[in-house]
Amino acid sequence: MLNLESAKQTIANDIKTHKIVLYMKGNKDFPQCGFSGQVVSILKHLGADFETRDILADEALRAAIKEFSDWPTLPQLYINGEFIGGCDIVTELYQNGELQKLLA
Amino acid sequence: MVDAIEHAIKTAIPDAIAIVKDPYNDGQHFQAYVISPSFEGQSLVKQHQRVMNPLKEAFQSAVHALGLKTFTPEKWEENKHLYGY
Repeated sequence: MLNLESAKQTIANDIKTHKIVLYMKGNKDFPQCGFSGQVVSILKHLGADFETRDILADEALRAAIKEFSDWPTLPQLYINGEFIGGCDIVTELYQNGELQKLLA
Repeated sequence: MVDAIEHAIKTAIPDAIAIVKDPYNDGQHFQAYVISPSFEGQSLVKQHQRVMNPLKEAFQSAVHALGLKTFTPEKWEENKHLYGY
């Protein structure tokens, strides 16, 4: 039995405590999915100081983050407590320069 | 299927222009461009949610393979050449 509510509370605390949190498959050194890896590459390229959470290692977290964000896929990027998007949106924001503003 | 997806998007967002393609002609991987003045001032996440959530209910399996781009009319005019329009 997964404890969804406590996992959601963990997420709420996590994104409040850390400026940039990436929920992903794997970790920043060993992404386990190309889309997660792409977001990691963008954040590293911009010199961002970011936390990652590996949803493959935590089934409750994986279910909770999808409900918490109302978003069905991973990775998911949070900046300043706000859900920014998945790989497509993060890439688009990077290309048009808006991601850099959010990280500033 | 393309028509059904377009119809579902227009039902959810009546002022939208929806362009849906089946680029590989396989009936499984779709690409959608959705343009709506009501996207003005909304984050990209919000725009995508407004398109994807109604589709999720209508097309449980197909939605997994839908690439999506959303635009305000102004952004569409600026960027449509990138997509062959």
